[in-house]
Amino acid sequence: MRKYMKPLGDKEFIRAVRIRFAFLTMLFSAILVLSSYLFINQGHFYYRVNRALLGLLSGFIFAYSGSMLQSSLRNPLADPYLLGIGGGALLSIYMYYLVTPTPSVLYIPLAASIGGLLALLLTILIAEAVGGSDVAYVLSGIGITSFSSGVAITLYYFILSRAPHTPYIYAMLIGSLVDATKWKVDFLLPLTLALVFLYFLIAKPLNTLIIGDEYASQLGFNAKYVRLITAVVAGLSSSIAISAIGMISFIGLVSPHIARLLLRTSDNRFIIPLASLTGALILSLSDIAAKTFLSWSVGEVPAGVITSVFGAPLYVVLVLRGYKWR
Amino acid sequence: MEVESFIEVKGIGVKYRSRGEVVIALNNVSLRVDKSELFCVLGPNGSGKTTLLKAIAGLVKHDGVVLIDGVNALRMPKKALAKIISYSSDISVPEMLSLTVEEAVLTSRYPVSKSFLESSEDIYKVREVMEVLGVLNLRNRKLNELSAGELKKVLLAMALAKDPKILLLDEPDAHMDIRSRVELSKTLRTLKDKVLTIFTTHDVAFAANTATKVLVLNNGVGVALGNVKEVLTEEVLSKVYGVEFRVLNDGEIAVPIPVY
Repeated sequence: MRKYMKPLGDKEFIRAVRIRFAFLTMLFSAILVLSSYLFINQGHFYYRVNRALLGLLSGFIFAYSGSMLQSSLRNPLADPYLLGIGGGALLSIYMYYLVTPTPSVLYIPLAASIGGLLALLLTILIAEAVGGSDVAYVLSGIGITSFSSGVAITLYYFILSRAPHTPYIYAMLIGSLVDATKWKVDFLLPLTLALVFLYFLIAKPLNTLIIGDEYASQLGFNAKYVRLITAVVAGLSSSIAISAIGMISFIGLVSPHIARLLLRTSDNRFIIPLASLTGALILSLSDIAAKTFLSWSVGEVPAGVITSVFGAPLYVVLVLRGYKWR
Repeated sequence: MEVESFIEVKGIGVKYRSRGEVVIALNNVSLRVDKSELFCVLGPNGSGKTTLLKAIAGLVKHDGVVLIDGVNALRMPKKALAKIISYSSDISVPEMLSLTVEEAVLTSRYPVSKSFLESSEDIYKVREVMEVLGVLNLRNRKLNELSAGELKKVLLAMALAKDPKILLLDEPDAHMDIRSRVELSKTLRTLKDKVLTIFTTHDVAFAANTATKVLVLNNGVGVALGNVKEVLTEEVLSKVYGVEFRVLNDGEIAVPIPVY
């Protein structure tokens, strides 16, 4: 037995370091988030802490959903935004704003979840009807996204004509952290904790799903069941994040790929934690950039502008180079 | 004393619906494989070889029963079945999401290893299997970078790493050069005392050199079942494949070859 154990050389050592790295980063960020949440009160930096938490948590959720969807759909281009969840959630939020003059904070995430899940279902049905390839998913997702955002923008004008002072509703079109209120953090924090718990159950089945459905089944994992769970969880959680900050693009797509590039593996036990942390960091940094970048002339821009401006070129590079960047 | 393991398949039938019509993929197929036997399923394309393996592995709905050591496989919990049966078929790995060879072989240990991360025992077992099959040097390569023949060897390692009792291999010799086929045949024959193997193939010569027992399927029906020399005869093969066969017999082995 020792024969195989002895040389803890290069690769094995890197692997051991990777494991510790992934776990420590996750633990560290959890402690950071929890402690900052526990110590906030009505003090003068209340808004800033809420805003920072909102950025970290929604970035985490988008990236987590992205890594899960990419593995379970076996598609490196899967992302909550590209699969239509963003557009669907936004459309139903606007519909909810339209039917009620006084929106309740409880029903906004609910409306978003219904719309997001329906849009995801529609995207998957269309993509599977035309063959189910990577590109089919992206094309059908883009179709659903543009249709639903088009309708959503129309609804936006109706909402404005009825209630001209609906706060920050414009910001949802591109995604912004400007409307950082406590109820949003209260929604996202337990959701994130639930996702961390789910990670321990879903990471190994997802690894077998990458290899194939039959392979997963003969190992005792029900491939269809795992895929359904990941789709529902990713749809729900990213819809709720969208109801908090609006449609943010590319974080769910890019973060898992950054994590895979850094760790040189696709093993979800390592990718999901690092990708989620990367997503949280990207969104927080984008928000800081959004607050300071153009402050000398026009003031604050939405954070979604920054992620689009920097995320879209990365996405194009990804597609053009045929995913051969390592 | 350890009970000799065996697998018994009684009256297996598989039907599925395609555009409103019922297609019978397998009709009343029975077989029995005892320990230390290497069982081969032969037949033309679409004869139901793969479906038979999937039915035995419990991956498709079927009539009839599969008895593993006398226990009905349908009655066994999925997790328990996953520990003792390995089903291996071709895979297509998406680029960019591909695992390395060692990580892929480690996934095969999931049913038997309980912890979230691998124990040293898992890693030991995986490396041992990879060394036996001669793929240890590939362990840090990505699955999608391998040649078709290398991937086949890795797939066999993935099937063996969990120490199954029953090994079901769907065309393990496809896309392999002749030397690799001969090596594979030797490997399977050395394994036959440890694990009960059923495999399918399109290569009649490979079957004749490797297997101890053969089932010939045609259109979902078992045509012939028995020892290699009794079954792989000119009449049976010509009837099933629709081409002329000649059996070369040097006293030790009898190898059927198609006449082109």
